[in-house]
Amino acid sequence: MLEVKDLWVTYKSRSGIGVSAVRGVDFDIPDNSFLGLVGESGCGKSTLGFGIAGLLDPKRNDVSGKVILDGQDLYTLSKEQLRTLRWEKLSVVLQGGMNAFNPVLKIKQQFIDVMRAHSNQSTSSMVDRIAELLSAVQLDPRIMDSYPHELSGGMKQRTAIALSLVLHPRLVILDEPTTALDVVVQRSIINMLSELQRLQKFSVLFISHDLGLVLEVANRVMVMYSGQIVEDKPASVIMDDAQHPYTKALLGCYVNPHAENVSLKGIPGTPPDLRGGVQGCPFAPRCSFVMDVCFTKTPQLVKCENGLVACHLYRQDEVTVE
Amino acid sequence: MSMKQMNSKISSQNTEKPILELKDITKIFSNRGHSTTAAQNVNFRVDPGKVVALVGESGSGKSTLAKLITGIERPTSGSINFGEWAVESLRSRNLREYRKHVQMIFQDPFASLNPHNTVLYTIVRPLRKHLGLSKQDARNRAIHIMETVRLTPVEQFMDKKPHQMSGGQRQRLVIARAIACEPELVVADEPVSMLDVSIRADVLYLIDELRRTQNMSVIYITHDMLSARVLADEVVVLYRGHVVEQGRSDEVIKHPTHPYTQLLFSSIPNPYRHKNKESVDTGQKFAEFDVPIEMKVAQDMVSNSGCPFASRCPFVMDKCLQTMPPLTGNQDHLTACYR
Repeated sequence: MLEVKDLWVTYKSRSGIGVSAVRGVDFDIPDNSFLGLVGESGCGKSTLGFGIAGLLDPKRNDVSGKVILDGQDLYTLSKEQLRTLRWEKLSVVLQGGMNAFNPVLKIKQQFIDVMRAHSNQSTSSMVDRIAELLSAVQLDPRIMDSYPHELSGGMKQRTAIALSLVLHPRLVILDEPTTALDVVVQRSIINMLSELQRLQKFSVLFISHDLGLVLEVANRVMVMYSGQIVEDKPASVIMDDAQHPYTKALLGCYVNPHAENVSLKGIPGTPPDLRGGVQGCPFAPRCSFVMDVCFTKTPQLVKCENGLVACHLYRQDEVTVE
Repeated sequence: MSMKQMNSKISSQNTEKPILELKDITKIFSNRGHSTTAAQNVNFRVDPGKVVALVGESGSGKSTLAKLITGIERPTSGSINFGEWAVESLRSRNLREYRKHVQMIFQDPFASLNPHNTVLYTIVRPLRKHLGLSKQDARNRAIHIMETVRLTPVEQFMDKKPHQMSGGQRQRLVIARAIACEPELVVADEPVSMLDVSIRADVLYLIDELRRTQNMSVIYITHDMLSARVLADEVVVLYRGHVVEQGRSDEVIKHPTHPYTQLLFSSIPNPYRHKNKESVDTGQKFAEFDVPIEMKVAQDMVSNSGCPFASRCPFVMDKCLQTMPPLTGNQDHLTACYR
């Protein structure tokens, strides 16, 4: 349904050296799928989300590549065409989405604004729809008459999710929807979200830094590092069959809370500076399986048994040829 | 040797007086007739070289306790003893002296550093102000501290400003500043929740190393049960200002008995959940956190007399609504629940 082809995003800077936050990303999102996008802060995962939603200002950023939604390339559309597409086909819930409500309007009014802009419905049918959505996110429909400040953080985030679903979009991009909330609220929102996705069959791109969380909700996981997708696999196999050293190291940071003995692990080093681009594999300086070729040649994302992986370790043939 | 084994080694050595003791601490914030109980009859003690974790979700009163311990706020009733000091009634000129001994590590390393100050200046300042060291001595000490927290190579970091450093490096600087004048107690308020998972372990191990090498006590405030289990010797679980469970960390976290602790534990994102399907998802059993507004009021009324968790508890009984269950059990594991 959504195809991203060779997407590059470079933030321009005054010094002239741009920061390439997304570097040649290719993937697709089929209908009715729950796709997780994981990476550390600064790896470009939010930029990728913005890039897909067409939220990047072309004056300040260099964007190249294609984002094709239902056969339409988003980057060839006019502003007006994009406006009609948003909410109806694609909606976004941002990290601080719960603080994006207008503080002086009732929740109800904010839903109605969106619906008015896109359709011609009677007020009563809109109110019915709002009630239906709020119950879907397990809130009392009566809160539609409240102002945003009367709701707790978790309630606001639920409302933001409900709002994103108001016009039956095909794809919802959720950028760190639970990061500002604590674990208990996070758990209940995540349960609610995966239930909702199963019933309503829209597609979700779930962006998060927390691999543990993504593994629980998503049915496919993409791991991003320094602007590139390094591994792309079904969630059910990535636990046992992670191939990229970064994914392995990231999984090592999680422990089973039910284990008899626990010890925490980290990944030594820090992600590379993306100013002026990266030569070779961006993970090479932190990688424990590093080879000479990793510093000179950027590994491409290639098919492996269960999915896709970008690492020289799994392309032995090519390495020896060189 | 694993960290746990080292911890138990320390615990066998210490039979000294506690470094900090909270007795019956209650803190009520009032505003125009509306009052919020942020702490209710909280008791716990911190022994030298020990780590005590305060665990709870947002609004459970854990940061309020940090403010009470560091003397930023004063309790409504109860006493806080730190050595010979009665913290609850310290005057402001004594507070400065007190803060030589008690330091704080803040949650947000992006907001708690002055962006104008270099790394060296940030560490030298407490050394000059609190310990009265000469310029040269303070500089040498600061370089030593930078090595301790691994802000190395020192020459490279010395003149950097916060914006030139990564989140993990900044948090190391916040830690360096806190341990500069060798405090006996450090209060760490969610020190790793703003950091990426891959660098969290590093910072936690640094805190653990410091308390072992400098015999520093730590109050570790977190909502993350796992890191509490790794780092802490003792755990105090808070819910709406009430202590609902407390005791030795591996005992409490491995065998939580209070329904709230069980809820917290089952909420941890667990990629291994898929693997052991037989483990039941207890999270589903609990009533939703996001209750309608009308019910919130009812909850506040409940908290005045009965168990504060009653409105969310799947095992609620009549007497839970009437009186708050007392903490019962042995020294290693206390629980406030009738069940």
